[in-house]
Amino acid sequence: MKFGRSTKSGLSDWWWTIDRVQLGAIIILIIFGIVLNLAASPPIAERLNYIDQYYFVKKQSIFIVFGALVTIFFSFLNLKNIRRLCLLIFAVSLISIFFINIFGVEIKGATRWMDLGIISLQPSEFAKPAFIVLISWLMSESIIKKVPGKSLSFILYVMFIIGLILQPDIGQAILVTLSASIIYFITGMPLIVGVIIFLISLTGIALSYIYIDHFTQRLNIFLNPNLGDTYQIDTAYNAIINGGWFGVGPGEGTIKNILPDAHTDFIFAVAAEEFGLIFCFIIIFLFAFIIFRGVKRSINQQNLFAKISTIGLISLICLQMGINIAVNLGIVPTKGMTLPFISYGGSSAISIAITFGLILAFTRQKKTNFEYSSRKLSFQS
Amino acid sequence: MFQAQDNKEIKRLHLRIKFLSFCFFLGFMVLSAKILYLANLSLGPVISITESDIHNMKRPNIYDRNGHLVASNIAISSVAIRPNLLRNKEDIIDRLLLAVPSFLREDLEYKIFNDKKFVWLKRGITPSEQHRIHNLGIPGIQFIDETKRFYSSANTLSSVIGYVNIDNIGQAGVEKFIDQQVESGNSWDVYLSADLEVSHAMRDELIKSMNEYSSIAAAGVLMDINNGEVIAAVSLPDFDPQYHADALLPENMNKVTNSLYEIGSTFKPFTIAMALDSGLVDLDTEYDARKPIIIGGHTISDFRPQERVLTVSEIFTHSSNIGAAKIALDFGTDYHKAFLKKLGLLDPVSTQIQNLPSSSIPANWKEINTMTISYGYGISVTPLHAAVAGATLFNGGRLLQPSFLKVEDESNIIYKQVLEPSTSEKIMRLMYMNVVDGSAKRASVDGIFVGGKTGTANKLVGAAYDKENRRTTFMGAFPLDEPKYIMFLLLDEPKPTSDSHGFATAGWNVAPTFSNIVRRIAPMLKIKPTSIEKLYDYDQILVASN
Repeated sequence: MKFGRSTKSGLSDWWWTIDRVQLGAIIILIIFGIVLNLAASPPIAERLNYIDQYYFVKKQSIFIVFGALVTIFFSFLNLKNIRRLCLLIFAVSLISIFFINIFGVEIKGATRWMDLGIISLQPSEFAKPAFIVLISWLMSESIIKKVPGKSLSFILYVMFIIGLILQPDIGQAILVTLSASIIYFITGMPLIVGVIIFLISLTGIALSYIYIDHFTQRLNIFLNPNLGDTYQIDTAYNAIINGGWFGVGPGEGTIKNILPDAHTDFIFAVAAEEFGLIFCFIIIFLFAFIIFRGVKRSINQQNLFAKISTIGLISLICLQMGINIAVNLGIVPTKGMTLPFISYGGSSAISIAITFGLILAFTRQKKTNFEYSSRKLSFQS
Repeated sequence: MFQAQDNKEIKRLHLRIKFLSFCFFLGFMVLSAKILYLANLSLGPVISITESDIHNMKRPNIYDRNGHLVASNIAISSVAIRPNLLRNKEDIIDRLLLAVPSFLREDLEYKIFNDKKFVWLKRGITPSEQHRIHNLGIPGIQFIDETKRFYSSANTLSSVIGYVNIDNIGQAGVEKFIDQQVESGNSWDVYLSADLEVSHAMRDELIKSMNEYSSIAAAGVLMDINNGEVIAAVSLPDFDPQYHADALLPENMNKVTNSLYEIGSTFKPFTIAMALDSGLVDLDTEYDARKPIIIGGHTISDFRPQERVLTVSEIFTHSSNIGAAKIALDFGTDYHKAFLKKLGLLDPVSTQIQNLPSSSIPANWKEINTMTISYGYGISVTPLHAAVAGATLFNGGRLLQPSFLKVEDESNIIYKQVLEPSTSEKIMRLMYMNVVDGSAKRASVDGIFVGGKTGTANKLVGAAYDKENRRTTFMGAFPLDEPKYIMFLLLDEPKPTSDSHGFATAGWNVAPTFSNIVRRIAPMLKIKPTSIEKLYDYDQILVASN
């Protein structure tokens, strides 16, 4: 099989158009994720009385391998197929979200999981990237063809957000709202509308504060640490400080043993304890690299839909990472937010895999062909 | 794809994307700044810790007052099984027995043949045992790293340190105190007030005396009278904290802080101090001790009747029960009771290691009780009670709180002035005379001023006092030229020896024990021998004051 730049086979076409540097960065992130799971999840497995202390490591490895395949699969798709698939995913997820509000499994005060026997799925995770793609498409259409994309996308947003608030999953709701706002912002939303959305969000948070118990508690405790149990955030804080610049060494962490959710929301603190803040900088730098590279590719991208989608998806990753790390560092209140590709969690890993796959698909550049032909043209003239 | 009129839109789009990237950049800067901030923090106060975490946590090291390590942590491995996950249990038992022959088959069967989720197989296995069990490759067997307390001082400080249980949780003594501190969020190296070397010498001498006089138990406490530090506390028989099960045997109970005793004549100094402190009585005040007192069917008589009128000094040195009873009677029950309460003899003494039991006092304190209590019957106190109250007789009348931890800051010592300094002076003279020429002659130590009072109490057997069954006690202080230490000693059921002419009273056993201990520990406590001239001067002062 030929694998040259000029061959037209799907695989070689993919290989020469994909952002290979970005792909490499994502693979490094995946490796970090597996290493950190090795550090963080055995104590949790032990605490939950699993006989195999590598229970979560093994499970997560399966998720990650599956996730990598999902990423590759999505990166192969063309724009048309992405639209179709995202519409399908979003529709199924949204129905599921409303369905599990009635039949779902309640975990930690919220109903987010759909128990399928073998695994529990969290449909809201899958809906996120699909939602971003859909509203990006609607907004780009509204710019090019002047279809009523704004109102249609807003209807989608309202439906999704109602589903999330019913669960209730305020963290995801905030994330989706912020990502959607970013898309509206870059597609030329007047600033006054931005202010209005901001005020509405504030009202939403205030209402959540009044009506949703576990949200109220968390915010209260963040604002006034003396008020209640700050055990989790204090422990994370101590883990980070214990690690110092260079960490206490792989497997040598002790505070991780008593840190709740060490393998999910607080894996960053475990990374800090064992591998040190230098390593934390490396993780942050890696995310920054992926994000700014995505932004750069998006600016060079010719297709408006791909451009907006890339920014939307990049924002999703950036916000999720930013909020998770900020929680770990004690900058914002505790939120059930995973660190992309690093935290343990099946639904989250697959959702992130879809997101990265879509980013790779949207940032494919057919630059070589175009430049080649334009150069040929210039020669001719 | 785009029309020309879209260019403006695209430009704005790119501008806004760049603005967004800038926001992201700022976000990254915030995260980095917080990381830089955290990197320069040192670990602050330890987070609040629950009972189960103490198990995983390292306990602080314990040092004696001179910095000798006496309790530390060593890492050990423990092996646990999950019977609900084991298959082929018979086979597993056989293989475990082959790997570790010291396991008992019955024990293994008991632990394995059930459906529990977690059972400890053995806490604290050797590395080679761990290796062999690991090599069996049985799923459902788990090794757990633990820390184990190691007590390098063995028995010597057991009555101070206490012990921890198998889960590393303090059960008694300073170990228990540490857990209370950890719960309140402190963590530090612990320095005991106890001196390892002095404690060892004291324990050694007490063991010798116990053997020599065939006693069943002994207790001794040495306290600094200026700051309340307990320099040594010995309770015999004792236990090695390493084998914490021994701590629960009744005979190993901490006699210094937990056992109540009638201490006999050693109580008389308190009665006489009461009289002197009132200002109404002086050392030469006379009391008629010619005839035994008969009250309510009881007869109060003297061990060595003088059958004459005695001064207060003589009542002390001859240890006259009649005299002491008459003094107490003069002041009355209420006054006597209030005075003993002031000295802390009726209430529990609070220390770090635990609250001492309340003294055992008569439920209905009548005149007869006042009289017997004046010479140490009818009231039971712990040796630490006696030492704390006794210290007031030597330190100018200051009642201190005893401390089992090293007192770092002498300026913060809290005390209560309970006696006139002059009373303390007078009692000290009596104590000295008692050693020079009284019942405590055998307590004297060459080159060191010591003073003390003996006490012999018949033991209460059933409802009556057994004449042949005694406890002997001694309360003494040294060096009297600059009083610094008080020692209280107790021997339970000492027997006469070939040298003691059939006597088993305090002067024959516990007084020489005091002398032996002081002789050994004085150099450790940096007490200089006193010159002959100085001794002579002191004698002159005493003669003059009489």
